[in-house]
Amino acid sequence: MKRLSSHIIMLYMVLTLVPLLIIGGFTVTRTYIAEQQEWTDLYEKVLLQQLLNAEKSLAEFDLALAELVVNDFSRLDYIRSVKLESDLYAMTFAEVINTNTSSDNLMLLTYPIVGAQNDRLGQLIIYKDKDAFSSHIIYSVLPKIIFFALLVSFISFLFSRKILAILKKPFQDVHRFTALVASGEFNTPPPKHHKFIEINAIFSSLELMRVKLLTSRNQLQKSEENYSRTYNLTQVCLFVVDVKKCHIVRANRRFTEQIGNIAMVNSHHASRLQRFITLLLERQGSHSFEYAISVNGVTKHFQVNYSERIKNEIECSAMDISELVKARESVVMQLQTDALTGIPNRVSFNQFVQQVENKQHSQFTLMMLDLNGFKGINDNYGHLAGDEVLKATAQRITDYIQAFGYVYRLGGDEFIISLLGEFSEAKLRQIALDIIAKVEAPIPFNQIQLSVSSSIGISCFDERSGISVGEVFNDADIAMYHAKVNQLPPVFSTELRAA
Amino acid sequence: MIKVWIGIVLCIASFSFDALAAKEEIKPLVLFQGEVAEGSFLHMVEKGVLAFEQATSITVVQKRLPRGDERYLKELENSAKQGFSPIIVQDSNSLARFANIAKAYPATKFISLDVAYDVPNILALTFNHAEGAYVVGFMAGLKTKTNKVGFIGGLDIPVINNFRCGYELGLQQANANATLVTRYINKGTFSWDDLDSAQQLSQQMLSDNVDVIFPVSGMASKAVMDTMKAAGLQHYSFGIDANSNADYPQTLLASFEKRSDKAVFAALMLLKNGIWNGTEKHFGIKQGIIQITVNPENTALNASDKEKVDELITQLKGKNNRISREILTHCKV
Repeated sequence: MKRLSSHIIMLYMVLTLVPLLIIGGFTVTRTYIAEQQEWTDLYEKVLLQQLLNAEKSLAEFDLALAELVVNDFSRLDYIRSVKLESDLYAMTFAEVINTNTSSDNLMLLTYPIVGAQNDRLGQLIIYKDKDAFSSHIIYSVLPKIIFFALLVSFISFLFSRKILAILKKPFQDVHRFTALVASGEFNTPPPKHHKFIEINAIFSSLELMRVKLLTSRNQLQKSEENYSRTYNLTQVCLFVVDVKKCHIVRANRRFTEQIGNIAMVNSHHASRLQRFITLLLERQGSHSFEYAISVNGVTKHFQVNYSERIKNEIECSAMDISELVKARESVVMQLQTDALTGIPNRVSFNQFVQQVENKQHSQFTLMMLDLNGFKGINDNYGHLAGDEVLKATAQRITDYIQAFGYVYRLGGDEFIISLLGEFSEAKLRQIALDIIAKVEAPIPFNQIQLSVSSSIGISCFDERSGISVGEVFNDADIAMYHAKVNQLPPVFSTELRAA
Repeated sequence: MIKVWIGIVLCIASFSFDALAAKEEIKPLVLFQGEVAEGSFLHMVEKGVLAFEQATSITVVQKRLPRGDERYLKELENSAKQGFSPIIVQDSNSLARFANIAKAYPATKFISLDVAYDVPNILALTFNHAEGAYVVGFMAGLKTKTNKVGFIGGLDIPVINNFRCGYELGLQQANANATLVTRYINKGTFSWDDLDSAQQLSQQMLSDNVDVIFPVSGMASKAVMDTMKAAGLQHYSFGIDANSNADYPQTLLASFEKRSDKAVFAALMLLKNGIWNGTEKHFGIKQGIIQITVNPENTALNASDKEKVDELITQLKGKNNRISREILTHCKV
């Protein structure tokens, strides 16, 4: 960057000097040409006169006239030497050498002198100093040009200095004032400049700007206070993540309370933050999702909402919905659990069927189990005894198959067991027999031993077979019924079909 | 009417042209007094005469007489009677009655060397000796170690004193501390050949601690140059009339050449062309008739000395120069 002062001075000097130099150059050229013409004219004049004299001098042996001839030439400054030589008298009539020129750049001019009868009398030999003219021009014109240029430069310089002196104070004041404003000081008004309209206008504008800025700042402060209050009072965690640098930029008080301070989260949970950001970036669809994290060993659920990515930043809000989730899970549990036995109920089984239809399970086996003699216990020992049988049965089956299957109470004394994966028929038969044995074991109730038997129908599901889950369920039911009616050990639906 | 006028003008012009062009038949004669020795003033005159003869095929009769003014004047009168014209009077310096003879023969043209007369039929060829002598004096001033410088003239007459005057001015210019010792042979027309006197005078000067001498005494000058040569290194003299540098390589600083040959040649040509305008033709350095030739053999002269001499000669050729004015002011012609 350049200094304004030197720039103004330079500009002014250039703008004044250039035209002056052009005019000066023109004048010098004109002077040069005029001077040259004058010199040539003078020389021609002297030559014309003195050639006649030279002729006379040579013809009449007039040495005094010869002296006059050469002296007349030597009056011209650029003549180095003049010599009048006579051929007839074989001698020099006159010679003069000008000692005021010392240049070696000489031009020889020889003029033959011819007499009245066309006989050659002699010659006039002139040495001209070629540099004399240019040095004459230099010595006569150059000092004037230099003086003029210096004068103009000096005036330009003074003028520029004056202008700068006028501008200096306002410039300094503007600088000082803007520096104050930049540092946040809005209360000091700019100084007054009443001398020049333009400068006064600038400072009036600055004052207006200051007042406007002050008002805006106050409004901004108020709004910021309001925002901050809201921001920190809200029960929702508000935070902004920088997805590129992978850290939290800012967060509200709620965030700090719920999760921890920003520095700690950025430094100690960088990998978790990374996972969260990856999730944000990869997500499609709605800008809202549930997210669970473990804080101090406690799993917390949040409903996260987030903004679009703006300059690598995403604004997020996270509302703690842990209580809500807990309540929801409890309702679901109640809905899917048989209230008496505490094992999954028909609703839960229906969900399983749904899962199969959604092709979540490619192979499984259903065992339909029905108790024999349950009605008698209900009738003989009351519903409490019946309830006890159902509870014990459910518990025993659950205990047995919890490693490889689930048991659901469909209603009454009817249970269904699902075994995921592929089992051999022998293995299935063994499981069914084991279950029957477990169920048949006596059930103590008020100092008596209750006892029931059970019938099991087995049907296997294989996605490849094309048979629907409904049919498999039906098959198991039919097989169970067949076993019950015929008092048979577990019956495979395949056996019924083969028969 | 115009035609008539043009006719008249042409007529007059052609008449005047014819009048100018009418060349007199000339019968030139040169009268020598004394020996025409190589390198002498007389020899230079002879050279000019011979050049004229060669250029024009007009014979110039040469009469050589022994030294003696009376006899010379008598022969001069005889020659005028015989119809010789122009007659070159080589030695008019000491001839008191020359002017009277010239007046007695107004139809005869006389060419006088060195001395001018207010007589209409004498053409004087005079020389600005002082200009050349100034340069010589300047050199003497540069080279003298004893600050005593000598001048030996043939006769104490204005022509010789013109030399002396320029010599002294040049000397003072170069060396304000130097003093000039002047001696003359002063033996009338015999002075110019009096080698013995010249030698004696120069010896005297040597014993007076003079270390540079400028002899202006015709043939006798040779004795001075010889004496200075014999005196050995750091003793200098100058050649006169002709260039004698080669004969005295270590002791001659320069030669004062007086190209009388050129002047005589020009004067004869002038008369041959029938021109008679004025009674005096004055020659100097500007005409190249007076020449100072620095001795190139002399090792005592360094480049700076030669440069100074060249500068001085250039100054002398300058218009209205200081030296010429000084000479004009101080020296009688």
